[in-house]
Amino acid sequence: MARRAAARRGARVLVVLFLGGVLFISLLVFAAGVPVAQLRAGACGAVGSIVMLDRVLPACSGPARASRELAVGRAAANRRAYREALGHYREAAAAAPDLPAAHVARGETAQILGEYEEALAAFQRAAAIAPSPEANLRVGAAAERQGRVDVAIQTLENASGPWRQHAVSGARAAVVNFATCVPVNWSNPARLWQTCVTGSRDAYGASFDASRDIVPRGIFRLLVEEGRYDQALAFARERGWVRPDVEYCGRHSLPIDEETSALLAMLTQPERADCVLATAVDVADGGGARLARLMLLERVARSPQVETRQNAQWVLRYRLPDHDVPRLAEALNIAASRLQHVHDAADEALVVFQKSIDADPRFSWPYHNIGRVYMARGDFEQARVWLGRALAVNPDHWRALYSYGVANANLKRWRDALFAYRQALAISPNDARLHASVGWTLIELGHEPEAERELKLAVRLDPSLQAERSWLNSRYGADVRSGPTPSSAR
Amino acid sequence: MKSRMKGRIIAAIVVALVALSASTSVAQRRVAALGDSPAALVERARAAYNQGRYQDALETARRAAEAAPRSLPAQLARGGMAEFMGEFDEASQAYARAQSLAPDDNTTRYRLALFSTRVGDYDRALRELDAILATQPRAAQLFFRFAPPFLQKPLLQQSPALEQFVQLQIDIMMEKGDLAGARRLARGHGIVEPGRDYCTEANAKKRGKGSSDDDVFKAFRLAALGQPDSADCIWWYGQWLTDEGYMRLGRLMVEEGTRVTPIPANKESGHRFMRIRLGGERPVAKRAESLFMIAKQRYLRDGDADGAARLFDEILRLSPAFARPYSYKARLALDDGDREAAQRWLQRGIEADSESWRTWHNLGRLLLEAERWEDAERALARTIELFPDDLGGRFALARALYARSDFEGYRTQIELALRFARACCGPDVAKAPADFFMKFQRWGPGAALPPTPDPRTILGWNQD
Repeated sequence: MARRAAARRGARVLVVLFLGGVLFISLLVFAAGVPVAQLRAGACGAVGSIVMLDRVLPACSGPARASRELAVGRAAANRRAYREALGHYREAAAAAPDLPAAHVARGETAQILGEYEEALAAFQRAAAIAPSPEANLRVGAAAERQGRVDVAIQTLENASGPWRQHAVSGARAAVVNFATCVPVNWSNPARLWQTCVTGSRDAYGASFDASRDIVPRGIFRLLVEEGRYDQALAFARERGWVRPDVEYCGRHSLPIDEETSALLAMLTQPERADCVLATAVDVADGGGARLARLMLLERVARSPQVETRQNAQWVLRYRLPDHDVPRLAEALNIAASRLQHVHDAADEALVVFQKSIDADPRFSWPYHNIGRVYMARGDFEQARVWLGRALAVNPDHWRALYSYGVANANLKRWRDALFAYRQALAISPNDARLHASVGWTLIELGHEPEAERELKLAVRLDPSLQAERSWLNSRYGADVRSGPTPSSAR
Repeated sequence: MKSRMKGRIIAAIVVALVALSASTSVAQRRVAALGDSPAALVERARAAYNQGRYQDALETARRAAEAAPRSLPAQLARGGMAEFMGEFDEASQAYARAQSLAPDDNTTRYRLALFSTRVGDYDRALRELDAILATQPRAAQLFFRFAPPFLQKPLLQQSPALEQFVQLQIDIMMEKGDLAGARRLARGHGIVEPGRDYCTEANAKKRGKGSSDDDVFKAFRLAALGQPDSADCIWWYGQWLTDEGYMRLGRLMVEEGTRVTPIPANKESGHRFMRIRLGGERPVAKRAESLFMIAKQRYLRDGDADGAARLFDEILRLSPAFARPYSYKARLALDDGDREAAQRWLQRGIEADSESWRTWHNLGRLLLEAERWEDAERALARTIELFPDDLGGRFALARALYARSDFEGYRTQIELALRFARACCGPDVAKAPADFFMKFQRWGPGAALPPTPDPRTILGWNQD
């Protein structure tokens, strides 16, 4: 009797567990949107690591292998062995072609390595299996890097995240604002309300808008970069960004970043758009040679200020490539720089820089960047070779000239170093570090009086230069004229 | 309360500093906008200053002050540039005019405090600083004077300008001779803390390679303020100051270090330093000291030989027994190719202060260059007698003896020098004389004369 009751209880527990499981999986699939293939791969992988499930259950063979390859790939990526990781992700995608995670991992790693064709194909496959705004975003970004602008724009138009994603971003900003505000204002309820509650509400709004407009800002940039100004302006108008009362080079409350503001200033207020110059320099520093070039050319042509036109021309000539670089070459150069500086994978970076050169042999930046990789390794001979190539391609490349000087100085080729520094100095005569470099090189060449002049000039231009100040002080004593007492003169 | 007081003092100091150090490009942009108005001239003066064209800066500031005699910025610019160039009478007049235009202006008061310090009117300087403080709310003044160090310290850390204000007060009190007051002030503002071994920290910085000269200097100053019994560090601080030309504060510190040290040999050494390096019983007037430091920089850094020569003459008129300017007058004469005049200036220096080791050293080396071996030997023997650790002097004496074929004398001097060089500074400092001596030992006298490097070996015995 008791045994039968226990069996009934056991059966009930099993039924409840089964129904619970079914309910849980249904929630994952229908509410959270997790693909069935991913659940299957996860389950097969988990169970397969304990028993040889794929032998018992052939349907589990592929997913289990994909799951294993993904894990091994992730471990390889953690070791910064990206090419090895990509191999595993390829295996995973082949083993379970309906598993989106495998395609996404493959696409992301291919993108890191500058394999844009493969990345785009992988992301498109993932998007076909599990369509989502994130999937579209990945496809759009990969297509843009490949130069397939229409595909990129079309996909990005459907890549804006859902309302809840922006709400979460807004809520996070509001909470941070509130948490930092309350301890300062807790004693004054009126101020607590005004500053903290209202401030947090504003923070929510600003962050929500900013999150919502990230993708549209990217589309707008893409349209401008392609020279499709009318389309870009129409797009901006649709978003409510174009307003007659807004000063785009001044302060405003539109949910757009500095770069978008500058681009809108360029398109709608060209006579008051000199902030474009500083933004263009930032864009160039981020690797965006094409957009920066376009912005600077516009300022050269349309700025009412002579000084701005001259500065724009200077930046254009000495800080940017001397021609319009293809989108792929630019994207590969950025990918390689990220490999070097973000992913700490200098060997892979060298491969990708070389690809950038293959895409545009006249683009001097990747040559210079390869030189910098060798400089970071202390291999100044190789660095000198590559920096020389950069200068052969573009003799006006100011940074390459400077680096060439540094490489020669490290090789104790003082005359070559001096020549390069002096050329760089002719381009940028108020650069304190260049004057200092010329000074130290002249000391090595035994021209102390000239060196002194350069070091004095360097310290005058930048009083924080310690080694140069110390050298001068050791000869003349500290320059005590700036204050009457020992402390005030320092 | 804290922040209001801080804000006003900062505003005064920042305005004063900005007057001398506004950025070149900003100044140039403003000039372009203002044309040739007095304001534009002031901006142009600042731009010239920033580009190191100091004479231009002074002349432009003069034009600004003449064009607008009732303009406070113009008068302050003229005063600042004249002070920087050592034209103290002109600076004094410009500041007086500035004060008559704006008697309650804190910037003017701060600039006057700085200038008064430069010419040795310490009481006036302290009065001006007190007057700045008195313009603050009563509660802020009480806080600044009486709040405990743990509250003062973060206040100074947050505000470099306020810290500069306090450091200036401390420096003035030290120079005035009120070392106890300066130490009290430093403790009160949390600049030094009781129980901390500043001297060991300073020595570690001096030996280590990661610290700049300024860091080491500041560390010794803290030791002098925070550790009244650290004779060695107070002494080093004094010697450092002496090298830089702060004769007055350098003397006070060396005297203090000598007073505090319990070791008789060190006391003797301290007395000797004061006698042969600091002018003995002939203290230098503060105004002459300030002019000397400015003249040195005008000559060495700016290459302004004429301006420097004029200032050196003024210094010698103010303090005829101050030996160091004579060495610079000699250098100026040498620059003109007049070796005889140079020698005369050095001899006048020795007449003014017969125990000035550096003047003897310079005279000896000058005579050596002129190959007047006998005179050089006499001067260098006196140099070594005054300061036996003078490595460069001993190498020079060895050469004079060698040139006169006194090889035994050469051997004695070079052996002493090399032994000292190895002990103090390692073999590299005397490599060339050591190589020459080795050859001399092996082959006997040759045709060439021994090399005479003049290495900087000990703090306090350099410059000039």
